[in-house]
Amino acid sequence: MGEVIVITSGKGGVGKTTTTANIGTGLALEGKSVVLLDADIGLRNLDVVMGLENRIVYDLVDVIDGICRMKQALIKDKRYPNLYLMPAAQTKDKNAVTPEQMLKLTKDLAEEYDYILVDCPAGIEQGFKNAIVGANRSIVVTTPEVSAVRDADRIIGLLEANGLKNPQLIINRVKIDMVRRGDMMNIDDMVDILAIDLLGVIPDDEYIVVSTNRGEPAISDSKSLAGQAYKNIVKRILGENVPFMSLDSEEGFMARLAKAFGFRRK
Amino acid sequence: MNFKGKSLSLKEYNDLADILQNKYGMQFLGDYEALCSNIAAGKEEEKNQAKPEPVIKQGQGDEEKAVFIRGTIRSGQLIRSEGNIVVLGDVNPGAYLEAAGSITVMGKMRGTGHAGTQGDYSTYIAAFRLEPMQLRIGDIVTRPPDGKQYKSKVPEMAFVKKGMIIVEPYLGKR
Repeated sequence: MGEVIVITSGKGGVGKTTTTANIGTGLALEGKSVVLLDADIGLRNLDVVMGLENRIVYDLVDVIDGICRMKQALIKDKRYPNLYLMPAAQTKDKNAVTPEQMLKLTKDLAEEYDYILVDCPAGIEQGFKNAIVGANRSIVVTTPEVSAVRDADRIIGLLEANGLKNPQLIINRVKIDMVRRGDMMNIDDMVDILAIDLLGVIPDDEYIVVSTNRGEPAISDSKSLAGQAYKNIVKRILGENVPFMSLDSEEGFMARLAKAFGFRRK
Repeated sequence: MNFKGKSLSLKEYNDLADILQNKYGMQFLGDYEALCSNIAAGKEEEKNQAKPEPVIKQGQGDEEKAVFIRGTIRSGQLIRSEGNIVVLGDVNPGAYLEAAGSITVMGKMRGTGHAGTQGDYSTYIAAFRLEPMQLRIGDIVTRPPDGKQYKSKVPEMAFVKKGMIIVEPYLGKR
């Protein structure tokens, strides 16, 4: 029986879809069979980010309506043979699916694949309810902005109210030099407010934009800093204990000196 | 003095009376029969009133209806009580606490707190770290000053003095 993980945020534009694509690809790289399930009916993106848009014949709503079999709607990734995408419908809306139908679909998928990653739409309405219903684990994505943290807090409350205890947190798009200068929200403060386990911190990386537009997840590129952070997250999901990446990619002279003498910076 | 609570067996009752009288030197007025009949009458009354109307007492609200919560109260969550509210944990920005009585937060209070919703100005809002979005007691509303985010360093409580909400440390000055 596979694990169903919902990736959600409340606020839009914080990187749910990018995170879903990267974690999914990472799990596939580790040899797991993975299905990426796009629950954002009417505003599908995951297929674009994965570069699989032109292969869509059937979608999630077709499966639920019984127009096709489950396997017919699953698109095999071009690079990794054990990675599949179940695209959302683009011509319908969130009300085309009920939570009961989603529950059955995720259950059916979990019987055949190791990981089902559900890309949740923004908001807390029907689409959110559909996305979380079948999940047994949840990941909350946020960025270091007060509005995103506020929405993440609300979402965590709703997840807990729906029986998804212990959601895990990914802080996305952290600008390293701004954090160093103290101009950005402190990661410790965010973890303090949200009071859940930190799964990873993704540094802001221009390469993500390039890779997203090209339809190739950043995790498959060894040079990308964000890709490296996603790799660590994947390992943590698989239960490995990976230390958090130092956000100082280029250390200053004083820092190196301090390190050499064994001083620890807070 | 009056006490309320679970009903006692005769032995428990006698033990309690004994302790109160001998150990604390309190004069004990009351007898078990009367207590039992009181309870019975109370139960009978409850039965007669299928849905008893909540009675809001003056003073600290209905103390019997205090709400105790352990854990984080998050944005969008509303906790309402006809008595007091006690939170063992943090209250995050965007969360609401509304009590007819007082509010105590054993953690960081960063949400909106409304004490004395029935108009009781003797209520208070206390927190281990009081950094609220907004505070209301009765119909008086206040908020922290604009500018730099307020960081509290000591446990504080807010109460009404001369028609204004005052915030002061509630532990003695050292």
